[in-house]
Amino acid sequence: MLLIHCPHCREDREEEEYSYSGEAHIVRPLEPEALSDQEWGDYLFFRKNPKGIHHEMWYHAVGCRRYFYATRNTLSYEILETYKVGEQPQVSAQGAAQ
Amino acid sequence: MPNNITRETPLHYFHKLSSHASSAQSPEIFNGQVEFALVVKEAPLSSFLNLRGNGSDKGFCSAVAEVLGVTVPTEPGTYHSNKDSSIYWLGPDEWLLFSCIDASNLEAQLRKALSGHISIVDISGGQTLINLRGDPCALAILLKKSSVYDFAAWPDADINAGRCAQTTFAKATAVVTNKADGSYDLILRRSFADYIAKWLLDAGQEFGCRIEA
Amino acid sequence: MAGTYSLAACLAEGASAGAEAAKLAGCGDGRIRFPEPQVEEYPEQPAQALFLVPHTKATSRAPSQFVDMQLDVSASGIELAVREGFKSVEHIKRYTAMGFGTDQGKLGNINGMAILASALGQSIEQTGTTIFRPSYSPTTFGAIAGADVGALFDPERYTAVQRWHQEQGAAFEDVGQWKRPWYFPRGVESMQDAVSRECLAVRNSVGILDASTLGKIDIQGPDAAEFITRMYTNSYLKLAPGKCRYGVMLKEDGMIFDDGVCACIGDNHYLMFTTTGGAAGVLAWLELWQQTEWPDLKVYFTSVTDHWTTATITGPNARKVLAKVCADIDLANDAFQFMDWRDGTVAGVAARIFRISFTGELTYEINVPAHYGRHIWEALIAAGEEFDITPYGTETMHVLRAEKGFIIVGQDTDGSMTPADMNMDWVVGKNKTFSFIGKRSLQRSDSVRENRKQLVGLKTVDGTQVLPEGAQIVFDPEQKIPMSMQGHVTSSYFSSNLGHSIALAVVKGGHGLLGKTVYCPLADGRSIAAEIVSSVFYDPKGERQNAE
Ligand SMILES: [Zn+2]
Repeated sequence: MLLIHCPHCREDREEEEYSYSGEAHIVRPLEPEALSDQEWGDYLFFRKNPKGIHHEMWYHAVGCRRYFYATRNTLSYEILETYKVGEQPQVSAQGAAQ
Repeated sequence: MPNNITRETPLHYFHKLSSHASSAQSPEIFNGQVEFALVVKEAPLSSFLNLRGNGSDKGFCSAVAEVLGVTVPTEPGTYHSNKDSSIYWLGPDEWLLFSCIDASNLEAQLRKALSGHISIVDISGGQTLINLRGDPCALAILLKKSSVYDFAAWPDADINAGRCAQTTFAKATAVVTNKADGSYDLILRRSFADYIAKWLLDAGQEFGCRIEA
Repeated sequence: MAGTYSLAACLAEGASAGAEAAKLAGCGDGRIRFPEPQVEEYPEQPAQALFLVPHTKATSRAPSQFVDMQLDVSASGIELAVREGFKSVEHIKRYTAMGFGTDQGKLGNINGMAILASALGQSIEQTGTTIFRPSYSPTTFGAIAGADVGALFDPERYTAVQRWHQEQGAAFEDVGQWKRPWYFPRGVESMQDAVSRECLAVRNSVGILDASTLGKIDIQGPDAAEFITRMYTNSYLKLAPGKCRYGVMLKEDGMIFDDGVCACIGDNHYLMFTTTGGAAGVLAWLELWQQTEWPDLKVYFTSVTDHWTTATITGPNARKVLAKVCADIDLANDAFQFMDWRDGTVAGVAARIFRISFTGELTYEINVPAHYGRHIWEALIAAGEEFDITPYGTETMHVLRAEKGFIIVGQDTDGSMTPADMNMDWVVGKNKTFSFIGKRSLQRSDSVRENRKQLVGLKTVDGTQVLPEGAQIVFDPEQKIPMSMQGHVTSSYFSSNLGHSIALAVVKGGHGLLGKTVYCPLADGRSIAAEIVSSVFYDPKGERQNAE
């Protein structure tokens, strides 16, 4: 089991309290009708799914019911940081590679 | 209110049951021959309000404090209380109010005192508070069996303040809080109350566990 | 080692046993009547254990002698461990991996520990044994299941009326974690008989359903209407306090995800109903969009599912029943209309009453805080006695809504159905300025394809035959296998109100195939013929729910 730090509860809590909610920082297009089927399809279906550093959304479902972001290494499962919606990650794939 | 109106708490049908009897028709359990290290007691019907608002707004906090006589806990995972009411931190902009003041009366007072973007929801029918007391060692083991949360790491509670956590409890969830007397309060959702009661009687069986009326 | 080993002793023992047997059979006196055979004696010693076959070379130089066949531990490996300085049998186990296999050393550990004892120059007793774990000794399934059995296997969620349902002998159905009454058999009644009786009671007089399990979300904030309108396909911007509206929610891919009624409670205050199974998912969905995409929209969501007990009374006599226990609401048809809700007092308890309908009949959904749940339920049963008010369960609810062609999300839809597929274009707001969740996807080429599976009604040619739910639909039952599958049956019941079976199905291009005969081939080789008809079987103009 993993301990994941909730930036709202400010505690390490068991993974069981959370649910994973997919890739973070995907912005919904402001004018969906202006997009081609292909552009809309890219927004809708295509995800990075990287091997390595990834920014994800997690939901503290059983705790404070807040969504937050996590930077996770998909290779080692190590969670490098968690941060609130509206904040930017401190760790990035480029940064980690250096 | 006419007095022919019956009200049932969520654990109504569990009162006087114990880990050593399968039904209320076994009153001999209460004659003192069986030792119970753990005791569950359900609070009488009370008011539960869900409160949302901006905790960093001093006006919001002081207005709530004015109505309830309890300051709003803004530190995550804490609660404040007085003899009538408690306020539990649930999230960065969410609190659970527990009070013996009538719910609609309390809601009206809060709505009068508060302004701006807030939400107050009466959830009294859907919650119950149970107190779990007994032998400290048995209590600690029971909580370890029941939840992924490490309650043992909490500092002792004061009379009017302590820790609280909304977390897993058996295969359901609960808000768990510690009290100055070493006991714990659990706030449960009504629809899961039967299940949690069965769980407590089963998990507490090795120490003896009974549910007071 | 027990037993007799030398040849002379074996012969003597055999002879005396034979004489004894002859005596018992009535021959002789047990003495041996022939000379005992004389054989050459050899000196013998008791048998010895052979834990390691000796070799002329040292064990480490000799051919490998495997001890633990599963993990390739050899005698030389054990001796090496001792040379490395390990003395405890538990340490040797970990150094060599002896006994770590699934047999937990059952095949090789005795030899291994004896070899160890010899290498350590001590007795087997002094060396001791390691702890044998499962599956060396059998493990019961009970030990694996632990407390995860019976009532503790999975939480059973109960409404406040659960004990009453149990006392009435209801059969229960699992809906998510909820236990819901499925039907209320009387005496030795079969399920079909009970459901028929319940269905007729609702259409002809009045029935009562425990609808408390429906998800309920309280929504407050100045941007509540805007937010809700972004989530549903239709608009809530002009919904007035006291009014309700039915809405469908899509995922961003345009497919139906949940449905329910949303009521305007007051200024900036709404109550959203979700399906029973969808409650937690819808709340998380609302929070996801508000918290991560539109944090600027001022709106708060709170689950109130557990707070309310919902007693639904439905049928032509529903108003008469309600009038007996509610004096402070004008129940006249034009004062309290279909899709209105009112605050009032029912049997002495403050209640919120919604005039919405899932049966197509005149219906009041009466909501009270759940500690009054049983009180209000029993008050309605008593008030309805003169109308033979009939408690009904989820099966009757399903039949009645199917007669009306009302879909159940998750039964008639499967995550690949648009509102248009369900013949519900009317619920999609055409003039909404904001591109609600899923709207853009409704224009994708695949979403506007003509031969999508579309909701239709099916009427079997032989009205007594009930199609199996999930049955595949073909146009030509004589074609070769594998047949060309054109759709499948999603809901199917016998309707005692109509006197024949009814079914809902999704058929490719179904909306253009009214009147066509299709076939459901069954596993036993038969095919059931059915005609494609409107999905609304009963009261197609919807007059009954507006009843005076
Ligand atoms: Zn949290």
